[in-house]
Amino acid sequence: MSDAIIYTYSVIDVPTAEFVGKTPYAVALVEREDGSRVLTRILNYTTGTKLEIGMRVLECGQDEKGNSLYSLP
Amino acid sequence: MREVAVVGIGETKFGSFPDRSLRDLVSEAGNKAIIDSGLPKEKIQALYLGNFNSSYLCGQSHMGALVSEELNLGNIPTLRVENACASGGLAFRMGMMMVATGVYDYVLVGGVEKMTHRETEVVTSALASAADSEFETALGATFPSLFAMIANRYMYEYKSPREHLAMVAVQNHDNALLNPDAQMHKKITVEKALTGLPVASPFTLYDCSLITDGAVFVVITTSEIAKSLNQKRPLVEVVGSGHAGDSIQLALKKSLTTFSATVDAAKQAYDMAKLRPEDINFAEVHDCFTITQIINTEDLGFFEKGLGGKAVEQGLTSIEGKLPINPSGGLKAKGHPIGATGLSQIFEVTLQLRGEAGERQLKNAEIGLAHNIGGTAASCSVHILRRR
Repeated sequence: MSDAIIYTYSVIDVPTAEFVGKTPYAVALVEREDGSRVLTRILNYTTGTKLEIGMRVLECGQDEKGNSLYSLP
Repeated sequence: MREVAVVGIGETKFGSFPDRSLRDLVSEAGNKAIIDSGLPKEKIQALYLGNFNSSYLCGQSHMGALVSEELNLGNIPTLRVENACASGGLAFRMGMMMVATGVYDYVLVGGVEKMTHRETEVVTSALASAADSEFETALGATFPSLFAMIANRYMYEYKSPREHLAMVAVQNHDNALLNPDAQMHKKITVEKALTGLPVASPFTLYDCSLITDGAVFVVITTSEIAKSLNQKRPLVEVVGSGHAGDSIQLALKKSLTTFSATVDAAKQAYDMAKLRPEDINFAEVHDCFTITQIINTEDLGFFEKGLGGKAVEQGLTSIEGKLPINPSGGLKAKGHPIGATGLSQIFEVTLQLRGEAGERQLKNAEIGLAHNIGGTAASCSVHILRRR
């Protein structure tokens, strides 16, 4: 489990068919310590949570495809 | 390479047409283009068709064969070109190259998409398939959210105001008011654009291009043959063409605020045409989202990095401006029938160069550029057309 920084983000209100009923949710590109970037979901985002570029996030698990998931500390 | 000219253009109105089939849209636009060229159908030797996703949205693949049958073109070779939102521009490039290299003398290039009959989340899923299904869509990313992330990063890097995005929408809506084929005929304000239905922050509905039914076709041949047709209108030549690529995943792009595929495709087109960005009189620029137009106008060399939004604010890109962008209304307000969009741009550029654009006719229209991207700028085509 490692830290990363929010490189950019967006909160989604109009989802794809698979994510109907889960809005709003936040997706982000996070930059890891080695400089690589990865697309992820910020799991503990809820309406009103403040997101900003440069915020620190923590890896907190993986989805079924093996994509790393992150949350705000 | 032989010189290539656009000698026929035709399009349907763009909009939501629940009663019109793919065939119906194709029939109208295809026949209009052929009639406009004055050529008998028997001359057409091949068809290239831009179509993104009728397989998913309409349950119809093998679109090339369907179109040649519908248009009674006989048993000519056909090919569907699929490169997400750049399908149309790249179908045009394929047709152009086949004529330029002497494989064919007469080619029909078209694009069609029927989208509005499906529910929003189904269309959202269809569009999202232009992104990476395992590493982007599976995580819940939508297409608007990918460009929204680009917008947030752009505003962070260049400290540019959110209002600049809204101004792109306002300007394209203004232009579409003058385009009878446009889907959207509604004047909006910056405030309305800022406070629209939230889609993916910072985007509201007004930052997003439209979901559209429509078809566009063009007939191309060599300039030499075009001159012999004695068309009572200026000759429109394709003087530059470029095609470039980039990674499909947003995370693997070197920069989110410069689209390298646009930079590379534009360079190819400028070099081929022996022209520079400052020679271009007007352009149709891919505006799937408001930020996309801003970044692309910079990457095409029209404005310095970070100043694309300022140019809109200053009126430089309006129909009366120094460098009109999207006089048609663009994807934002003319509409975005995905596979037809690249051809819709060629249609507008050709119309302007001929001097047939009616109320929105530009005063200075000798050299025009059409720019079409697919995905998060993972594919790009650029064409430069010139009146002779």
